[in-house]
Amino acid sequence: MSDGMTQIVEVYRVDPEGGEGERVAQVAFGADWRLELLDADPDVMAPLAEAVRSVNGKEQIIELVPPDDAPEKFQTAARVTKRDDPEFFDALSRYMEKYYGFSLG
Amino acid sequence: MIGSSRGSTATLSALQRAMSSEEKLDLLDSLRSDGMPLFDSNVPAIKDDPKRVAMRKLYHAMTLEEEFAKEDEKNRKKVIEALKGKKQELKDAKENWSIMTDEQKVALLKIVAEEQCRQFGFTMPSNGIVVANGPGSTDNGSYSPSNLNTNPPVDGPESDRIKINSSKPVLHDFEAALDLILHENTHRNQNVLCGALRYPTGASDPKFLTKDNSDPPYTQTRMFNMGNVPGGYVRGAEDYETYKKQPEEEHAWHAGPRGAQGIMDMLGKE
Repeated sequence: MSDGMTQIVEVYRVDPEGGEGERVAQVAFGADWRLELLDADPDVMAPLAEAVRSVNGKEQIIELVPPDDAPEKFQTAARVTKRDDPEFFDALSRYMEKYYGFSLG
Repeated sequence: MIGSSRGSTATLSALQRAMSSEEKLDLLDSLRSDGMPLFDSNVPAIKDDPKRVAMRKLYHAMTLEEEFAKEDEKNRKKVIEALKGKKQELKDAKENWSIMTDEQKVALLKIVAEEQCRQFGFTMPSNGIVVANGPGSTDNGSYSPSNLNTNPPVDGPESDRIKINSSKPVLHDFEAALDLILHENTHRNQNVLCGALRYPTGASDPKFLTKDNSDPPYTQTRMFNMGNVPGGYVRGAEDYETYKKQPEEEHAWHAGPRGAQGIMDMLGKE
């Protein structure tokens, strides 16, 4: 939310086996998509708080992605999404899921 | 001709689902028996060569072998467990990542890669992990494979090494950088397995791969080896979806984030 409005979103623990995730917390989005942890199951409180602290400290989301093309095998590319980018929420969601195992919304 | 019409494509898909991995690999070997046309981005028509079309379809029909995937997951957990001994170092690095030098960042990534090697049972790239910023390169990091065409491999200084491009963004994000090193070192693991598949030195060698000795896994390694034969590796310019799905890449794009998430989970616990 770059306009200063607050939006509340459920947080789910991602099931690595691909099953339906379990709701474990609630967060609010404030200005510039910064997250505020509203409540969480005790067993995820510490890792989720750390995830929130980490992503809130980032001015942009940097994702490791497959290159569209690369001259050599095994090369990698980056996708960078800044906080004022309309795609920021999607990038943040992917990042939280990929590196912290939490899905938003 | 395989893949030449809608009807035959549908039949092929059904066949692929019913085929074992070994049968798919044997079919790929047959397809390549008199050569596989090499993709050339300057000659787009090669992409539509029936052999390349069929090869890409077979890659899409392949998945990681179940036993291999289980073993992989088990080893990944061992890496995380072992890295608990470096927890404070990792936490400090995460906290200070933005002010650490490139060399300090790569040194930390090396610790993680060494643990990955130890727990998975393969050796570090002979030419190490280096910062290499090619002018104009879009690469954020990559593994330059060991030469599998000679036994023993004859590697120059630019092969069998992991390059990290510090002029690109990924190194400068802690989580993504861990993903990168685990991903590229997974390609090193595949390379070592493929070397053992190609050059078995004898039944007493623990890396002697045959159908009857599936530890390390013979069938999965045959799949990885498909990307090491001429024309076998599919680039994004040819087909982005197949690039991600081919066995070597599917494995590495899974291993990187899973490992990085395991480390974040470990660091996030009290």
